[in-house]
Amino acid sequence: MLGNQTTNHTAASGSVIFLENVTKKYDAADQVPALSGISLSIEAGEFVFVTGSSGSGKTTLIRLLTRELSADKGTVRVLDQDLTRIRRGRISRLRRRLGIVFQDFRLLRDRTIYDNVALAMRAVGAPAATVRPRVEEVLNQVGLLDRKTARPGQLSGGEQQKAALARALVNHPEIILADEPTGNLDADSAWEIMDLLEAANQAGTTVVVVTHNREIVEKMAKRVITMKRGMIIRDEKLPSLKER
Amino acid sequence: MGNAIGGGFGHLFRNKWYSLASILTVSVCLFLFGMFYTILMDLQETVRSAQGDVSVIVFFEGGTEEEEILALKGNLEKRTEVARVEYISAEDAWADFSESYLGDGGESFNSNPLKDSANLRIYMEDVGQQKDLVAYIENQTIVRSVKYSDAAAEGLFGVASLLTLSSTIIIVILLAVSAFLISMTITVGIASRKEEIEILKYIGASDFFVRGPYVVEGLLIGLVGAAIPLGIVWLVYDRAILYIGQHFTLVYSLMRFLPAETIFQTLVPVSLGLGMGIGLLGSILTVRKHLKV
Repeated sequence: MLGNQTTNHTAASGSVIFLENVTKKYDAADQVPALSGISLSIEAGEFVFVTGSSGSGKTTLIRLLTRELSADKGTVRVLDQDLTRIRRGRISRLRRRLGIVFQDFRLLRDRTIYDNVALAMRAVGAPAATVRPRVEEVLNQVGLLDRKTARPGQLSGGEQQKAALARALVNHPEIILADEPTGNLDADSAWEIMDLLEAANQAGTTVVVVTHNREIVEKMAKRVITMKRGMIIRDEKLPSLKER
Repeated sequence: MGNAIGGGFGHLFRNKWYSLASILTVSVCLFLFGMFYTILMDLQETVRSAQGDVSVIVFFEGGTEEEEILALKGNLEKRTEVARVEYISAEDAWADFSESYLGDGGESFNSNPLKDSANLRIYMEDVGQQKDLVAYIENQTIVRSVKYSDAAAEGLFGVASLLTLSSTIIIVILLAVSAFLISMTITVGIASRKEEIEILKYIGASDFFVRGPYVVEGLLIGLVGAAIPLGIVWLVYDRAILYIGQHFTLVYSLMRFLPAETIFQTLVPVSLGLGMGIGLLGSILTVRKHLKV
């Protein structure tokens, strides 16, 4: 559907994420909105990069999709939920269908890696008997099973981000939203994280990654949404290195 | 529920310093409350005891039948401001008088010179209502005269009022100090819990799931925070009375001390309730601010 052209956002059918004319200001007095009338549509199973300079509105976009913020104007739909009208009690149910990854990992420092990941399952009321096998399965998937009893402070940045990714994956999310997941990592670790996100996408999960890292964006050849001053200035599917 | 209880104990031990600071805050507040409450109870008991010594004496018209006097006694005993009523018959009055003042000489009298001196002696529960009681008694047709002391009643009523007023002021000051100490502790708590609550909200935990362990933690802090001062007051109370008895005999002779069991019948449930209430409130306030992620 994408090709090298700007995407058409007129319909929401089939979209797991749909925004139409969304405007967001942090302060009513702000001259320039954080987001200014943006529209976009992301289909199930897509892998999308959101890129742009600091202050372009990338993180605000992610915060709208997790319903940490609500839009001042326009429509925000995620997994068929209208986030401009969603009841407070339903927000947690929506987030159970999302996997959220942050630049600073956001792991609980006083708990083991196993407990950090298991907490995500306990929080959604998963049956106790299913917790251990699933947590160990996903820790094995990200290569951290042998470090499960370590605390975050005992791990490298890359390992901590893998643990955060394991926490995001453990409940089989339909969408992964990653805000600068490689921002604090060295190049090798960054690629390991991107490989894991790619694998999750191959397994059917929609992945949205906010990043500054041009090298990763260029090499992975995915759909790229570029933002500037709260607006989408480009929405394109990059050709693979072979196609180039 | 398992998450709330397990998580609550987990929080308590994981954040040792915060837990300790919170427990100490609750303990200090409730220790002050417990000490003050105990002193107040003993002072009130002293006033109540002094009130019990204040009596109103009622004399009757000549020829009043004993049944009529006993009927009035029955009516008086039903009144809430009356602690008890004693009936002194004319014979009792004469026997008492002659024994006190005449000795064996009293036997030389053939008839009772005090035949019209049967009386009712009324001991007050609440001296503040003595005037109303006297007015009621004076309206009875069989009553000849009523003897009472306005000064004693008013003096004691004044002490009781002063105690009530001062207790209210001290309780307000204690509550203000408690609120300040607790708000300081909560501020520290908020800083250390912010990230944890936010992470839980991001991974889809319901408000109930997030709040549960904090509620249990708050209740536990309140419970332990209340138990410590209760234990101290229990240990100190009897020893304090003994010390006062040995070193301040005048105070000891003036005061009436309630048994520890009597004071603790009220102090234990009130302190535990206050402790758990404070702990619960602190937890709810700490969590509420961050639930809106």
